[in-house]
Amino acid sequence: MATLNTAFNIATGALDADQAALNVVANNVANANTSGYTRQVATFEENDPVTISGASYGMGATMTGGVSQRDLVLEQALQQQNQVASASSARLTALQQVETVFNQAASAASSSSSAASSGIGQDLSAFFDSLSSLEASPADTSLRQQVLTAATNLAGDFNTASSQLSAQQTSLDQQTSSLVTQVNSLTQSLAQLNQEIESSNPSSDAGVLENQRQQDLQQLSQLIGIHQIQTENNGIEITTSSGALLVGGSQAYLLSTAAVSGSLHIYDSQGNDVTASLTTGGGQIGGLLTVRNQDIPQMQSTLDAMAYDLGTAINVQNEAGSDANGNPGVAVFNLPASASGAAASISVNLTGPSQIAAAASGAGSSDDTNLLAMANLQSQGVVGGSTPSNYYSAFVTTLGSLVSGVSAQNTAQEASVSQLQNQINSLSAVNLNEEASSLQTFEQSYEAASKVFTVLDLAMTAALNLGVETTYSG
Amino acid sequence: MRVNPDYVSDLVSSLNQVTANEQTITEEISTGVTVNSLSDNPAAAGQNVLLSAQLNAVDTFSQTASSVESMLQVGDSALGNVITQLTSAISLATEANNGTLSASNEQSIAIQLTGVRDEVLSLANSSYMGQYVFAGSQGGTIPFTIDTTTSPATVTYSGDTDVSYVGTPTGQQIQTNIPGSQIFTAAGANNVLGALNDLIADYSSGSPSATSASDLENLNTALNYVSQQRVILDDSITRLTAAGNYSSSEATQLASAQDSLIQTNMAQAASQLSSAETQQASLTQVIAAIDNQGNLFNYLQ
Repeated sequence: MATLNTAFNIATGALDADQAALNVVANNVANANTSGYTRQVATFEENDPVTISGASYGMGATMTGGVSQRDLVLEQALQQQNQVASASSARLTALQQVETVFNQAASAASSSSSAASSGIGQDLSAFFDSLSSLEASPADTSLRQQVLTAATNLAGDFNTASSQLSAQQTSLDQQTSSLVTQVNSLTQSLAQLNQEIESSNPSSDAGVLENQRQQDLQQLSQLIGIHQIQTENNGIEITTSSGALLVGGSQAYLLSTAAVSGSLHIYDSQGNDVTASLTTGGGQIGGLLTVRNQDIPQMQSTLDAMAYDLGTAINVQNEAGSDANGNPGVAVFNLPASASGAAASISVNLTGPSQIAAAASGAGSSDDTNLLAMANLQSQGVVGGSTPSNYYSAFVTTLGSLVSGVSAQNTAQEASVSQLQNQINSLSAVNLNEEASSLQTFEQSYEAASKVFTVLDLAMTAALNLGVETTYSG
Repeated sequence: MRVNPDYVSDLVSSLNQVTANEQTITEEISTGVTVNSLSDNPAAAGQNVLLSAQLNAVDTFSQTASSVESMLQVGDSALGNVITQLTSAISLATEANNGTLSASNEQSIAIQLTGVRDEVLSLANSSYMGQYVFAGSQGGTIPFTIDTTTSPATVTYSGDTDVSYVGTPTGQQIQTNIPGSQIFTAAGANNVLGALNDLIADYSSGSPSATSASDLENLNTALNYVSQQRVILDDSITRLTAAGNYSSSEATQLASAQDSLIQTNMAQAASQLSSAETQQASLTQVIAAIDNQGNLFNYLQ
């Protein structure tokens, strides 16, 4: 049968339980601003009752521990969305840098008499304008010099744009390389967490360790596109989006980088080149690789085509005429054998203004037949079937549209990320109002239990005093 | 239902967006153009490339046209003077042919005609900015030289028959020269210098020779011919002037097209800026009010 001692034990147990619950609340409040922290809820469990001669008596309660309030499905959804949003954000930043190389196209026209803001568009029209000016007096040396200067400026612009694009690629390689280092340190930390969680909490939520693991996963998914697979004993296996293993059990498989003919390549732990698959995989690395290996090369080849086609057309036209000294015209521009690399290496071949072949072949120095033909190239489809200005205009529009498209994409994705973050926070973040009311509840419960203890104490005193005239007082 | 206890961070990110918007508008106002980077308006940026190229071409043509016009004027006034000279030559020759003059008068007419011929010769060798105007494409070579040892004197043309043009932005080609051989030493009866030399030879002996009447006919024909040739230059001048005027008006239109394409509408930008500032102020107040509100802990005793 139940005794007063049993009641004392139950009251003591209640005090312990309430104390432990207060601990949980205090821990929540202390960690209210810790990133990655999920709030814990104190869980009480009834102790097993005791049955004596057919009557069962309850044995009080214990606080079994704080249960972390997390939704792994939501967390994973956030990680997926983070990958996409980080990719578009990194791509947007890199593209905005590239865009500044061509921003002169957006400025208002300057008349031919003022010092024009240099840019391929302006200097292209300046070159053809100098040819038109020469028509007035083909033998005039100073007008010829203007043509030579305009050609030099144009070639210089191509060189500058091309080298700035290459410099961007180099800087993106450096950024990617440091991201890979961060990825490696995160995978190592995750491998270690896997090991600890497997040994301490193989079948239940691992609390603080799980918080750290989810935090690491969020950071990792911002850097690189990943897939997660739940394994036995509460482990997580992590691979890249295309399947290269990053973390398996308690083992981290590190990525490495190497420069191959001037560009950065990334290799998995087995030495396979995963650069191409990482490009489409997401995360900041995916975004940067997209710009480096896809967007910038496209721009380079467009510029190369323009420099090569235009230069070739001008060269052919000049070679068809006679220069100021009556000699057959030579090539105006130095070009490589094919369009590849033309923008970077185009330069002016003429050494003096007299080498501009204004006259038709065999005609005297005042003739401008060949010059007219050269000036007319401006309105012929010599660059990829379009006129030079149309081609450049289309290039500028395409680049601008790409950037604004990525920007719109990024805005939508960031909105989605913040929505998911809201949902997670509403479940897992510490709500100070709730903690305050929990604090009150447990405090009251503690007071009640201690009151019970006081009353039991009085009862015990009375029991001890049974039949005796007040020998003991409480 | 559960709420996100950290909703202030959403408000702060909205505040960031409003501030970024303010910065964009301020940049538009300070630079005066709405397209400060390609992604602001890709289609406008592309069109602007084309408009700028057109504007530059039209501007350049205006300058080229005025320079070419000056050159054409030189040629035109030279031909005008030639016609004046030929007219006086014709009256001299007519006088010489009527048979009433003495031998020394005939010879003095021959001398006057020589003066006319030399004047016409030097007009035929007119130059503009160091280039001979009537030399075809051989602008550096003096086109007409004369050998007076023969009788009649022989004129040699050292230029060629090349014709040059200047192109307009609309694709027209306007002729900018006439080869000297076409004007001054044309075939048959149109040969101006030939007719003059013949007449000089006719009268130098003191009495008109047998061919003097037909030579005078040739000179008449040649004068009409030169007038016709002059029309070519006049025509070019007219077309050039018209093309120059058209270019100027086109430049105005292009400039205003560019304005409407990318210039900032200041009034609109200013009102957008003021509404962004209002939004920013109210967001800031809301955040401050939420911070002041506190939570349940503030009320526990």
